[in-house]
Amino acid sequence: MNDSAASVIAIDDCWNRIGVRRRGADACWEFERVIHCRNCERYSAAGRQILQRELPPGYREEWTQVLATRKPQGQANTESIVIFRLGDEWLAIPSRIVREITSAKPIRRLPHTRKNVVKGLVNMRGELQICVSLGGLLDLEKGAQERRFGSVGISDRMILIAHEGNQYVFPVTEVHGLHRHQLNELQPAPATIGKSKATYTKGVLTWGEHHVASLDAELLFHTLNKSLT
Amino acid sequence: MLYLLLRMGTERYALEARRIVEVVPLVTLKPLPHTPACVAGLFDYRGTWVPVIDLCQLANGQNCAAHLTTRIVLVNYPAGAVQTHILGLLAEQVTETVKFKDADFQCGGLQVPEAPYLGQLVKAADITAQHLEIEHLLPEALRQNLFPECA
Repeated sequence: MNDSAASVIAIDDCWNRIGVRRRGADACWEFERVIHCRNCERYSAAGRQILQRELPPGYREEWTQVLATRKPQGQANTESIVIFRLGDEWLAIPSRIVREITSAKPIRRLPHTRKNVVKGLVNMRGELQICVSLGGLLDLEKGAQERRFGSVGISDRMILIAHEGNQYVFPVTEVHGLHRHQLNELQPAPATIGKSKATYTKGVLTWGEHHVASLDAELLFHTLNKSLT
Repeated sequence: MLYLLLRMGTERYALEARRIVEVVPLVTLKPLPHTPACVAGLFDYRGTWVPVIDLCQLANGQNCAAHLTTRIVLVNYPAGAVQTHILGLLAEQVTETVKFKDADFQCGGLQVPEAPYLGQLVKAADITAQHLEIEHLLPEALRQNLFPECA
């Protein structure tokens, strides 16, 4: 900053003069209200005043260049997915349908339901949600899932998914998190995987050393809705 | 509603945020000869040439100071019934947005025929500003010159 610009700006730096917490003779008159300088309008107004100075050399030219180029077209043709593990299988669902991921909660069983898919009811923040078994739907390790049916701690996480007004919860063993990939990274599912799983798989994604089956959300919800009737 | 505060000279003005496309830093403008002094020039905004109006020049007859806080506010300028064009407004101290309620606005009681773009006065907390009506910003002749296809 050059001297002429500096002399124009007279800033009362009360945060240096008084400090944050000083009480007594020249106590901060805003302390009770704002608690800290960073919440204080005087402090932020002074910060903005620092911008009230002349342009650094090259600033105009640089921004002229930046604005003359077209905006990069975002991240086209990508999809954000949530990767999770169910037993030994790594699966993924589109993150737009995921509403919440919570710790495992007790499942209240429902009588007379198709118990390989519908597991029961779960209390999610005071709302009862239908808990389904994705493993049951996809025919994954059915035996192991059956034995430990209904017990808390079978899985560490529960995922609440919602689409067109329908909401379901399903337990998973582990949630990795969000991942964004190009749509053309998806490989067609190999013919060797189970028929049921292949139906719901949109494609297989190579993620590190794992192969992740990305599930078709529309089809998933269609089948889940049907399985309740 | 959210408003962007800016200064023309010493006075504060408020611009509706929903009309704003982007606020960009001061760039090198290509001057347009034989235009009124308030037309600061053109610049290449992502592939289209956008005219920039110097608001300080329009209101006070002085150019905006070349400060870091002097910025170009790109607004959707209504040209014709449905068409809008992007118009750049060069103003000083474009640093703040505030929320005003509709009830905060009061009629100033004085309409200046030379400045039809000056709207109602607004006062909230310690901020007093005047509403800037961008549809009345440009004189008719200048509007037709800048956006000839909408004449």
